[in-house]
Amino acid sequence: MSRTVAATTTGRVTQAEAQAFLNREAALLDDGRHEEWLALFAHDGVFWVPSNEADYNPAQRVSIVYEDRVKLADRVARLGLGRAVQENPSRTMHVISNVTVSDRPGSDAPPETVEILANLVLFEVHGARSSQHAARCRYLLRREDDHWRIVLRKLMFLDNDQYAPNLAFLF
Amino acid sequence: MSVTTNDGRPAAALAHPLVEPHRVHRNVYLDENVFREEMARIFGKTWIYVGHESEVARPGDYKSTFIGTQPVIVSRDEDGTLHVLLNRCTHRAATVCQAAAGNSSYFRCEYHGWTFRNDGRLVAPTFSSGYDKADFDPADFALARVPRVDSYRGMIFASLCREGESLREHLGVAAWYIDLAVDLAPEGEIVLGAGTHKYAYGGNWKLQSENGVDGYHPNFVHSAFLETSGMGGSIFGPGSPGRAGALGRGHGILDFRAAIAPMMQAKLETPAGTAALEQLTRRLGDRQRAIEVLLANATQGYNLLIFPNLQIIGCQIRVIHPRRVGYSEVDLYPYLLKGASDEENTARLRTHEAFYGPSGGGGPDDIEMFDRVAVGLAAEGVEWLPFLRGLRREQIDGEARWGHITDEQPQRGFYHRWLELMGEQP
Repeated sequence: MSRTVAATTTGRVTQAEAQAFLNREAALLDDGRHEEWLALFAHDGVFWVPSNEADYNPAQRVSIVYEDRVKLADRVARLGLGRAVQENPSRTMHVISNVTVSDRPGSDAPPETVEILANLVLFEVHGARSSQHAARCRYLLRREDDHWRIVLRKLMFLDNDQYAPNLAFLF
Repeated sequence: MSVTTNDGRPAAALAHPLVEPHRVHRNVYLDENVFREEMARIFGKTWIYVGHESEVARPGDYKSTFIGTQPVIVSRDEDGTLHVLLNRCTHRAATVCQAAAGNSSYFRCEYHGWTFRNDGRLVAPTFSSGYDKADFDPADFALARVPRVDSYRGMIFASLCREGESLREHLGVAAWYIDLAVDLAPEGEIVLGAGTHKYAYGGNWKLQSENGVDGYHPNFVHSAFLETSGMGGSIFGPGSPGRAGALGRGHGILDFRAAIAPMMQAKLETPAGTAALEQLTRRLGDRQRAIEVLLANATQGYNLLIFPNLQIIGCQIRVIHPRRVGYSEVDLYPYLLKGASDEENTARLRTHEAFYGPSGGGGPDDIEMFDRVAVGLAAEGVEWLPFLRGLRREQIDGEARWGHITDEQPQRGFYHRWLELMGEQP
């Protein structure tokens, strides 16, 4: 698949753009607009939720989620069937704060990407059960076709070394 | 089904008001006294998996875990000897090891500073002039030792009971299936160290032990995964050639190798498959055995339950920790194949994640069912849960009993062993 990658020689995203992007993503997730959420990802985008600790080589360690767009599309399709745990879909609220555009992105960031750090507080209600989660977030975004697209979305849960409840919803 | 114990006594000699050969009372999942008895008579008697040798490979390596509800440390001392010690200071009972794993020659209790060597010996109490030799010999205050430790193909088991059958006797037929998994590794060993999935649920530990070898439920609980992953329902469907088995001593299996055989055979005939077969044949010195091992391992050839709380499923070692009667914690350790390519081992991790873990495509659906069972078990007046499926189509093969993959042999076998351990009058 050939893609036009608009030149972003400066690789800059403004604070307002960063916040608007994350707010929009949160709204898509909370509103259950999963296909539109999926479209935020670049064709080579990855959603990563590390297990046990915040950072490691995902090729060598298991993760709670480490999925490319193809697998994310499977996930969206599966949730959409409304079976088993999805018979009773979770309601969520993503609260995003502490949004910071990095002056110096991590050395693993591809040159054409920008890095955004943020904090996430996530509330979930699933039937009689509810859960709260806190995560540090790292985004790598790339400008494509005049839109910011996700190259990496990494959620580092504070309690990712503890016994977790079901995370069967799209977060 | 004629019911006899492993040593040939009729089961009538065993009795428990909550477990009959083909059904269990709801209180096996709810009663705190039953839970306490299970901890003493099952987790206090049999061999319990505590870790893998690759987790404590070097001198000083340790990990902390549980045998039933009892906290233990698995440590390797400077001489290379493995110890399984109770994680409990011999002074005021605080845990002396807080980390899940690490490397240290000593465990120091932070409460009053008592320090123990990694073989359990107390170095000395702090401010030792306050202890008189007439009352106090440090040798009497070593960390308590779990009396029996043994391993099989790198898997370390411990028993809180000083006497009893050997680990090899305990594993019985299940050992053959452990071999089948481990033999796939080019160097004949599996390796942990790829991290863990950890999840908890508000239900009894046996729900997960039963579920891991329940071939009836995937057709329904996991239908969304089967549909969207393209696997379809044929592995577990009514026409599947797969088998469910009670292997004796409480161990059970879902053996779906026959159901995946056409796919595995095709894989074996690819250039990569041929190369893998040549390599494995050289190592094992037996081409037929190499074919058997390769056909069994799509990372999904069978689900093995080793009584009472250990499972080998896909490419994971799963340990179920009974914490309270209505609360359980589960550790999934994806295992890697020693000597396999990085690409192959990475692919195993991704395959594992697709289904298992707190956000996997299948695992959370099981947890949802455990939650619903927990609610339903409160209903009174319907006291029993049946394990009748496939009762009239069992095939007996030595200690093992086999049926269709959707049948409930593994659960009947599990509770048969439960009855042997729990039903015997002291």
